[in-house]
Amino acid sequence: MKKSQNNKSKSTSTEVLYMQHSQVMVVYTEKTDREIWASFKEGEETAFNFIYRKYVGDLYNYGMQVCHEDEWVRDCLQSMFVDIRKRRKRLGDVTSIKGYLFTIFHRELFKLIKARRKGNEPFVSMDGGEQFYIEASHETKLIAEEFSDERKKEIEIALNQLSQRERQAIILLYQEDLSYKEIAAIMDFKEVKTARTLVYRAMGKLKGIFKV
Amino acid sequence: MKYDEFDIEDFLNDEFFIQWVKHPGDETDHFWIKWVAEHPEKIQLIQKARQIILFVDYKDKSFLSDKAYTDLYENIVQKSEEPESGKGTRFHWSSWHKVAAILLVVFSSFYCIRYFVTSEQHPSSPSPGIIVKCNPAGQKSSFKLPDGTVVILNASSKLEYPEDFSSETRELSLSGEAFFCVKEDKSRPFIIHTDQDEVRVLGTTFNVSNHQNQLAIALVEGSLALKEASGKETTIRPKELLVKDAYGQLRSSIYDPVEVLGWKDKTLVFKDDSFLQLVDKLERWYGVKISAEMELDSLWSYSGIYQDKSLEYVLDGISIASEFTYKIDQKNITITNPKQQ
Repeated sequence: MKKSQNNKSKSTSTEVLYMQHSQVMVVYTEKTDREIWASFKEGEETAFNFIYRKYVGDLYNYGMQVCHEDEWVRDCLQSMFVDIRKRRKRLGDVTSIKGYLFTIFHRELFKLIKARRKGNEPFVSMDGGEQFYIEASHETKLIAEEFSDERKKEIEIALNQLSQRERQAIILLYQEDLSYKEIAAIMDFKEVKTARTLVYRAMGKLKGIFKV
Repeated sequence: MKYDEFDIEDFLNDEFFIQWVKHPGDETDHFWIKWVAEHPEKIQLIQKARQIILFVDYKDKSFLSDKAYTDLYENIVQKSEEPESGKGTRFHWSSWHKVAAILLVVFSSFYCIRYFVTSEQHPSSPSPGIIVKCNPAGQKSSFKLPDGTVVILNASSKLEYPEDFSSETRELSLSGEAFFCVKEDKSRPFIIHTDQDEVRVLGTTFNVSNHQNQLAIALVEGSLALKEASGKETTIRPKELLVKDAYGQLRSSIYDPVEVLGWKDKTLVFKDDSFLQLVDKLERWYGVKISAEMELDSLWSYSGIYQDKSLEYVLDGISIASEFTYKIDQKNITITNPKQQ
């Protein structure tokens, strides 16, 4: 029900909560991240809804890789989204929403973990190499003729022998489709080339197995 | 280093190559298909690198449950609207509980909508000692009953009650929709009559609704009974919504508080509403008349929540998902689909 062509419909508050998936997704899937982000900054509630729908699942899973504490991860997601909504007018331009969200989420999650670990709460170490385990993707599982079960096992074992940071970078690069620039920001590297080198060395270590 | 000097780890490290493997597009296809054709000796290497890139996935993937997904979203929206400091003037359930019981009664039908549209909004006194509160479409009101019970009366609704309740019971009759915060008084049952049935408050918190010849009672807290004209009594449990349909059939389910109670906090809720339901809600909420001049997909439905918003705002909001155009002429709204003109 567009009132007129130049009167842009704007929605705020919780009204889009129950909008159907297709209603929100269709509007934004064709747009660039920069455009979607600009809409969000202008207070367009459907843009926020789109961002939430598209990334909250990936962010949650990522958080669970880092700390295995469901409640902490959800708390952190909540405070992060509340924060960017409150500051939306003052936020800068963003060309990769996913990279941006992963970066601030990772930072906030570490802050939260640090604050909550002060007590005696049980916590699985972040540096103990227990996170970001790799498994053959669903696509790979489907291509049975290319990969025997033994071959899959072999590659899985090889990849999981890498350090936690190496696995993390590899997952962010191959699975999450993030760039080295974004990975460097998320993993708090000063230089982009650190992320590139990390992956290069890891892959170099495994080239013998990969080339079989 | 050029691509023809690349070994497997170089391909595995190259963003342009990874981009092609993960999301082939015109730009990457153009380059890589040509490159592979020119370097047939590298096909095997490229295949292996592709396989590794596509291989990598999380071993232990965690998923947000549907409930956590929705709760989180609601919390985010709610929390981000709260002022940075200071107390808001939000409705507090706890303070209402202290008073006594909360009761919401909704009873409406096409008959009474028509009745209220034509009737005067000013309270009238058909017989001495009886107070009649009547709201036209588009207007809500709140007031106290003689016993201290607080009532929020929705639009298109009418409540009749005595100037003074008797010493045995507190009886009133309602058509439309109302939210009650019933003052606790175990010696005098609180009884609400709808056209055929009566709702008995047994010192509890609950919510009753009757829409389009369908009576629905939702209990917030405590216990509650519906007494039908036949004399049959049905008890309702907390969080339960009991519906009596136009054929007199009873069924119960768990209800959504926002959907059922939202109106009293000025929250207009559509939940998978058909076009007719949507029009009905808008007409009662804003006191307007809506006519539609178009054909609709039978599967058309709309969901959305509006907190204290103007009609124009809501119509704009609905337009996000649809291709309708609307025109407001005072109290008359015409909805059309330009594509069907």
